[in-house]
Amino acid sequence: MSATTWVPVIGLEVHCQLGTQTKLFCGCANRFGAEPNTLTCPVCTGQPGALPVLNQHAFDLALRAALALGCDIAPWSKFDRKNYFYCDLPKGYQISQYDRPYCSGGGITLASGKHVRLTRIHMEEDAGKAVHDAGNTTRVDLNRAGVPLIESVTEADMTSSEEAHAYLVALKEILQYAGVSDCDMEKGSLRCDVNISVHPEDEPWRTKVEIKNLNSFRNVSLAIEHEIGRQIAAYEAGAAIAQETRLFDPDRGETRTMRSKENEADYRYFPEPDLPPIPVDAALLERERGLLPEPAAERRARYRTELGLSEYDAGVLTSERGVADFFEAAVRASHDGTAKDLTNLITNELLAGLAGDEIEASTIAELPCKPHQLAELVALTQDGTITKKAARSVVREMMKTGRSPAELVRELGLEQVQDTGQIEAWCRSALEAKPQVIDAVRGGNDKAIGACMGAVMQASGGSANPEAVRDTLLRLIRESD
Amino acid sequence: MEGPDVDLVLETAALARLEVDAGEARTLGPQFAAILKHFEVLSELDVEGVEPTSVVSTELQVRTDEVRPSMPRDALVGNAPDPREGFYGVPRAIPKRDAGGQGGQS
Repeated sequence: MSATTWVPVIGLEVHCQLGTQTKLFCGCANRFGAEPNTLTCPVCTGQPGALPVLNQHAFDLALRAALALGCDIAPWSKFDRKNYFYCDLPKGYQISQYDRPYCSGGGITLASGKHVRLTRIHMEEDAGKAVHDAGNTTRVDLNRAGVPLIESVTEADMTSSEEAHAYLVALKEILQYAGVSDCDMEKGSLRCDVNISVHPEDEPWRTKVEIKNLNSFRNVSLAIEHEIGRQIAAYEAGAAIAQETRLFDPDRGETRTMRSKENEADYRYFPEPDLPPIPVDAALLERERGLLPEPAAERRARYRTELGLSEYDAGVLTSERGVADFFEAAVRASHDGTAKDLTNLITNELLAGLAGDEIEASTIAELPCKPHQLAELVALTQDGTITKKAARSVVREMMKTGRSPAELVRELGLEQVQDTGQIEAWCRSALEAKPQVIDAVRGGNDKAIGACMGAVMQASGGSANPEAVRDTLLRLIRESD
Repeated sequence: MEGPDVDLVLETAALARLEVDAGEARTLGPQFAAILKHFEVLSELDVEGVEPTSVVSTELQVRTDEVRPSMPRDALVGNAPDPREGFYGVPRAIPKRDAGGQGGQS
């Protein structure tokens, strides 16, 4: 055991693709998953003479992200060329922002109370994708080249993998809620680099190492854990840590030297001559400020205090803005006191359906059924037309077809049977089939009645009112004394 | 070490991923130095108080976020020296042990 207390110092750089229809400087579609090189043109493939034209919406979204993160917006900013040679960068330079980023400052306060400061956010274009085959060839797809990105850079304020993880979760939530990006790490919409060093407590900071290729939050945590261990072990063995870029290998759970990277001077940044400075006027700022949604953390608190939901339910509902918006629209269309029923249908049926294979939609907003229909369905359970169990069957149909709940209830014959004669007939058959239940109940075991209730509910196709069934069964058993 | 001029040629060539051998570097070194000397002459100009010109126009043109047709793939990839199943084939960009990575993003 060493006596030294080592303190990790961690900063994060997060690239986030903006949710535009088109690329940053040309009209090619910003879309993941297309056939390689089908979304390219002279601008994004860097043909001579092609000129970039800024996508206004990309800039608007970048501004919204900055406002949501509490950054200071610069009155004007400019683009610069960052020069380096790599096969996924057709122009030989990336259009980025160097000394005049569009915003600076800001930050995120984590649930623990820790505040992580942002140094800056700048806009830039994405590079293409290089696929390194087993052979001697690299294959390049330029569909991603020119996709708008914001790169947010934190101060080195974090000291553990848990803090870095919490920061990323919070950042993703804020960007998703602001409608800036889908933040889908599997599609590469959110990519993270880590800067990390360790130093003995009460000593100055030491050499930092950059880790790239972190394509999941889990890998960020694993890479940080591994790198802290590697650096401490090196120092304790009397070795030095080189300033370098390392690559995380998820299969081996370790980092290794990636490549020698250019120094900042080697990028030979200079102002992009094809793009004049970008001014920000007050009207645009006001408009974007107005489009900012209520943050997820505030929604969670409101669901608990105003709607009486549990912390767990509030957390599930706000895990994605689309879900929270759907829920709130349904609440607005409903009577008071239905929030819990709506929550159950959304979390147990809609979200479970989306996670399964039967439903084509991948987000709640894409479902054919709409919030007001969910409100109608809950109203049908409240006025006794259908049971809550029947409502679950109806919502499963609604998810597939978007048809109205009243129509489905009629078609599926799910109206709750209020006809006491019919209920009594079902109950008599059930008791005849299971005479042992009568003895058990008489012997004081009320729970035994469940077997008969199940039989009646089955016979009625779930449409019998469970309370009426229970009462009828108990009455029949009493009367048979 | 071949002297500052030749070293500058070799360093610049490495950054530009250009293959320049020592012989070529010795030829190019003095030529580099001569060109840079011209810029030093320009640097002597007194530009105190003069706004730097980095763009031709100061009026920013923007476009709306509407998709326009991309170019047919063959028109672009077909012109490349090594088209491969719709990709641009290029000489392997990273050492083999890094296979599968995406590299490059700075």
